[in-house]
Amino acid sequence: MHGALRKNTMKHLRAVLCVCVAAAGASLLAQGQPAQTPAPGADAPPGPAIDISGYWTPTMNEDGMERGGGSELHDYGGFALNEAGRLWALSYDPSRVTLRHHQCDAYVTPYQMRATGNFRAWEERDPHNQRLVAIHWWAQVTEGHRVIWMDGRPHPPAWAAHTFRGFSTGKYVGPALVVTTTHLKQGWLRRNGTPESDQATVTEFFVRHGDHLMNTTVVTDPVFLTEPQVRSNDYYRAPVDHGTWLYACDDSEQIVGRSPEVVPFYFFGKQPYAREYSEHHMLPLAAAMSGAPSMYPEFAAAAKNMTDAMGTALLSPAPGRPSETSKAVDPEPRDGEIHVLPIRNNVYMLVGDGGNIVVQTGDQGAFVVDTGTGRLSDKVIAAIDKLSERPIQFIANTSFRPDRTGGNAKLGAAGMDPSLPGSFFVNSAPRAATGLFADPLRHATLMAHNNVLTRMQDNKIPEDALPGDTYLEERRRKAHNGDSIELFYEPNAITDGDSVVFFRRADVIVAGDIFTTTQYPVIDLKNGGSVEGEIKALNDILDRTNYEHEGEGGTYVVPGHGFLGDEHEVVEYRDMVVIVRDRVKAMIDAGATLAQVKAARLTADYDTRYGSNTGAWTTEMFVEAVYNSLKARK
Amino acid sequence: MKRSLVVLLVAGACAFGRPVFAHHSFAATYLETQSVTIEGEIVQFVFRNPHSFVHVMVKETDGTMVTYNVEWGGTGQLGGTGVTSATLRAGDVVIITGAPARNAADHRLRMVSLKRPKDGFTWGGKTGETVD
Repeated sequence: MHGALRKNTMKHLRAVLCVCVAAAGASLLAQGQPAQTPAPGADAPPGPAIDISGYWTPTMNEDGMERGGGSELHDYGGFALNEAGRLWALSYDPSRVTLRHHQCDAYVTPYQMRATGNFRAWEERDPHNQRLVAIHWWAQVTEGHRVIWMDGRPHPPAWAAHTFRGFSTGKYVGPALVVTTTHLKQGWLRRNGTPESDQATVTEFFVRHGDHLMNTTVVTDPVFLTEPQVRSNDYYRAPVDHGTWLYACDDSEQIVGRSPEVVPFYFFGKQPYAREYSEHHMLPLAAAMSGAPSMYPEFAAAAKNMTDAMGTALLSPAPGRPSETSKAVDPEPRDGEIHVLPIRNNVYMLVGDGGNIVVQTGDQGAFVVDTGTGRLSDKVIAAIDKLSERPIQFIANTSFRPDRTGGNAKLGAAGMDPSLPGSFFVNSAPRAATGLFADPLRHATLMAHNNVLTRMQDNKIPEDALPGDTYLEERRRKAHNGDSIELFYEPNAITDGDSVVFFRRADVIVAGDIFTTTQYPVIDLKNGGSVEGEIKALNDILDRTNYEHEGEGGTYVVPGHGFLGDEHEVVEYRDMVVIVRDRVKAMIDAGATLAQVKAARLTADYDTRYGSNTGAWTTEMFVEAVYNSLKARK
Repeated sequence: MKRSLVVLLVAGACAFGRPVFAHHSFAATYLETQSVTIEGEIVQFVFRNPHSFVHVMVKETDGTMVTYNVEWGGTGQLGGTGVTSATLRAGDVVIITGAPARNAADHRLRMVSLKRPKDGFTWGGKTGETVD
């Protein structure tokens, strides 16, 4: 966390805690009940300091419009949005929720606590000792089921999957229940497009005053906010079950005939409804877009002097500024170790060697997708040995890039493809037929699109790292370890040899560098990549995913780098690439040069999430790749 | 199919002024002070939660055929007003009035009223017959 943000966060948390605890203390004393604080450690009493079990109805006192029809467009007053957050919101077209993969997006926890509908809370206790394991909180709208773990378990690692509810742990601080939530998906602070990133963390304070419950949320979001966002929500206890707890959502055809290439958005500075809110309420245009200052009382006086030009300037990226860089947590452990994340069934994600690796195990040998940079191959092999009783039999590469193939030689040599020594062909086949390695008895079979082999040969990669089992057309398939595995060719995405690997039964897709959660896509024009191919590849992945419930879960998608995703992360990434592509294309169509495109800061709303000004892949390189990719097509 | 498209600017929009409960924001999605009427042939009726959709093929004034996408209530809301999955079927000619979407390219409306001339079926205007 950045210093200033940390300082502000701590200041806000202390203030909120003081208010919450004081309020709760007064309430409990009024009821004649002393606050019960559990002692630390194993001797902690099983009972909670406060009990929030029961049925709760929102009072609708705070911002009733948000709990009804939805807030007005471009009302961001009182939100500490930074430039990226403001531009993201201004670019947002509510039509985006009609896209199939957005239709059932659930609410992220801070918004869910504020949304319409009723709530129910109940305790989960260990049946043997009656200690409190978790508090469950169910929201009527979107069937939002939160679990607040009370048993002291740690939060998952940075590479674990995110959900709309996030991962919550709670503890009692005096008479307040204090909850910390991480691993949230990208979502809304408001339904008018005010964004909350997947890097947000939330601290909540539940305080009960008799039959009244107050929940205060403090959202810290380094991507879109300059200060923590504090909001309170109130509920009163309902004596009987509200019923109607379900909120089924199936995606369907809403806007028929729209191309899958279309992602609704507004160009910077060309939002047709930007003045609607300010004109309706007779406010200066800038008043609802000024970020953190608009949270404080003195802003009312300052707003009187705001000119229209000040507001107009806020509708577009500030010119002449350097690109912002990512404020996201680095999901790479960088501790010299390989970490294993079980995904589903017998499929695992291995993190630590500079690129995500996937391993499938079973009665046959291990099936590995990508081999990392190779710097930690010995530890990768050791990790696979712990997961699989049998050696690596197959290795599939999603591209030729070094973070996908760096460990090919070592992992290949550590493996064995038992289908080869028993083969009729083993003694007479040319080397190419057995994978270009010397002894098929002691080597896994390497699979990839044929262009991977060609690129690696062009780069003089040693023979023992080269794929020998290649394919040229759309699909390569293999039944292995009880699953049906498919490699789909994605021509001209990151490179000209990309494959997406789909474990059908486990319902896990390995995307390689087509999808990452850490950076803009590395569109490698020199090696056959293109922005159009990248978009097609992301859409092809989305054509194969399904969600389990309310827009999340179901098919897991392993990114080349970053945390385990599902279709929600992929569709947000797809949206970003399409929007940037469309912005660059519009400037090209208007005759802009590359220098002019770069100066326009067309990625300003995404730079605090994916941007970089240093390293192997910068924002400028991405924009240049998109520009040149589109120019080459003309 | 003959086409009828009338845009009415209705100041005040009393009909939309009360609280509603949607998964998305109606205020952000629709021009709630405007009204559009279309006439056309139903292509599909998706009776679904959290919102149903009626897809109607409409002939524009320039002769082109355009599919309009009309957002309606969820199954529970519609069921409470007597609408079932069998109420409408492909081929029915209907006249629909609704609030247009802010994104004109979507050809989308939020249902306010529906009439089916062939049998006089109507929806909208009576208690509970609103899209929430």
